[in-house]
Amino acid sequence: MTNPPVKQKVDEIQPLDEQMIFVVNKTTGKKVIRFLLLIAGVVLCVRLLPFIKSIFPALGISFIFAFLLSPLVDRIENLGLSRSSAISILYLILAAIIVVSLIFFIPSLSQELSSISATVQTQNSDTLIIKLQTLLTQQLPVLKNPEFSRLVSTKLHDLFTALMQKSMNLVFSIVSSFTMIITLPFITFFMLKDGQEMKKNLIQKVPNRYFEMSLNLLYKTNKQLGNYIRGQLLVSGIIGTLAIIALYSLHVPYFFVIGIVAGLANLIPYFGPIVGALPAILVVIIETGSFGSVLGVIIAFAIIQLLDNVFVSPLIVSKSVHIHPMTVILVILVGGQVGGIIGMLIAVPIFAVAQVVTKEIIWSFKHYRLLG
Amino acid sequence: MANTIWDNIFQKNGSKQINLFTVLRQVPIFQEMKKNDLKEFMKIIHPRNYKKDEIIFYEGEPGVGMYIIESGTIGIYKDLEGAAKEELAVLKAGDFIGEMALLDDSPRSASAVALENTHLLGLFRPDLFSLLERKPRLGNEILLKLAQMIAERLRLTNMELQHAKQNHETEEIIR
Repeated sequence: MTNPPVKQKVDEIQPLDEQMIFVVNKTTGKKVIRFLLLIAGVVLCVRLLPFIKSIFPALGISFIFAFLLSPLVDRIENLGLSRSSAISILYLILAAIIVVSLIFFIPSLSQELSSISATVQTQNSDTLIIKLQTLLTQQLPVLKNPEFSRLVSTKLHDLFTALMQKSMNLVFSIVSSFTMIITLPFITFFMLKDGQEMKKNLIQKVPNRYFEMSLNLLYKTNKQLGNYIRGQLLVSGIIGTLAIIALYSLHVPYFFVIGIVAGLANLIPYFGPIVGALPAILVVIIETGSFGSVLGVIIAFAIIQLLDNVFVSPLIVSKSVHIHPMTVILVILVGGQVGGIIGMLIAVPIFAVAQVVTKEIIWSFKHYRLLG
Repeated sequence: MANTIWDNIFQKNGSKQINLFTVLRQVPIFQEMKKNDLKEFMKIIHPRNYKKDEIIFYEGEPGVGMYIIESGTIGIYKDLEGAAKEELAVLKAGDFIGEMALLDDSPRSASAVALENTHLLGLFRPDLFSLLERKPRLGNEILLKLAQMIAERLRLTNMELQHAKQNHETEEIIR
């Protein structure tokens, strides 16, 4: 007696069930396809990694260039031009600067480099060290102790060999990345042109609850880091130029190369100035053997540092990035262990980036109700 | 089938852009804007979708910018003692929220919650400042329109305040 109503009920429900099963299957199917596609994508990326990994440095360098050049593009765009035209004009200006540099500075730079190379070839590192050692023992009697002298000699020999090895490696890596140099302007162009759109697309993927926080974080870090990195590079440029002028006035050989090294070394806080002055002092000792000239170089670098600390850095470098001297030492040591000379040079800027990002993340977590 | 693939790859973004263009054209302050200017302005607009009861922002959080309601409804609430809340307003399509945050970085004065599935168009301070640096004429035009909008709201608030004051005075006289 009870069978017919149940059957009737089942008949009514079945189409709905089938419909639901179909919907569930469709959704599950989509999810499965997405998951499989994701796995396929990851596998493909891992398989292709050895072939595409050479692209990453180019992308990284282009990103830095785009980051540094974007305010200039903004300024040119401000004149009423389209973004593409603004980038093209900036490229033309940069090309002109490079061409002028090639015409005026590169001959003297290559002359200095070939002169250094000739000196190194005619008097190999051992003879240079012996010369340096003789000069030092003449001036500093304490070095006449044979044991101490042998120790200094061994250490200097190791240092010179390591430096030569590093510079050779650097030259090889520059030559092998010639293709990268050609592709850099293209990648940078598109990063400059579509950077805003890329940033917008990236932030669009962030869930609603973290959206405003991420946006704030992105803009604040971008602003602070931009000011810091651009400021550091500008200060390095100014210090390099001042060093070149000072060394030229003091008739120090290879003044151009040493000045560039001094400018680059200035990227390392506290120790950079000493590292920058060392090559000049060494060259003066080797070339002239006069401690009077060395004193001149030391005074020149001291004046440059004074100018940097009193006028240049306070006006240019962002105050938002402050690193404790002790932290700087540790960061440089770690940078040296990980990436050698280049590692030491970029360790502090990388640490500054990490510090700013961490500070902003902590600030955001304090001010946004993320768990609400 | 082929069409769908091409649609997915190339046309989806294009149709989104056209849609955004049409939506902005319907908002009073953007109606008189030139086509190219509106296209440039669209580049700094962030479309966001919120589900029913989803929080858009909380009171007291740092404000980054404003939202234009494309579709849906938003409730504006003020936190009271404990967990109690006071509803200040219910806003509909075409309305704005958080416009004060475009001018300064003071904290949000109230919380905003989506009362149904809602589509918003976000305009944020850093993007607006960047536009002001890159395209000062367009940036100024947008700033002027925003100022007009805020002035309109201020005028309405003044009128409401005057009304409330008059009512209060009448009540005082009756007593």
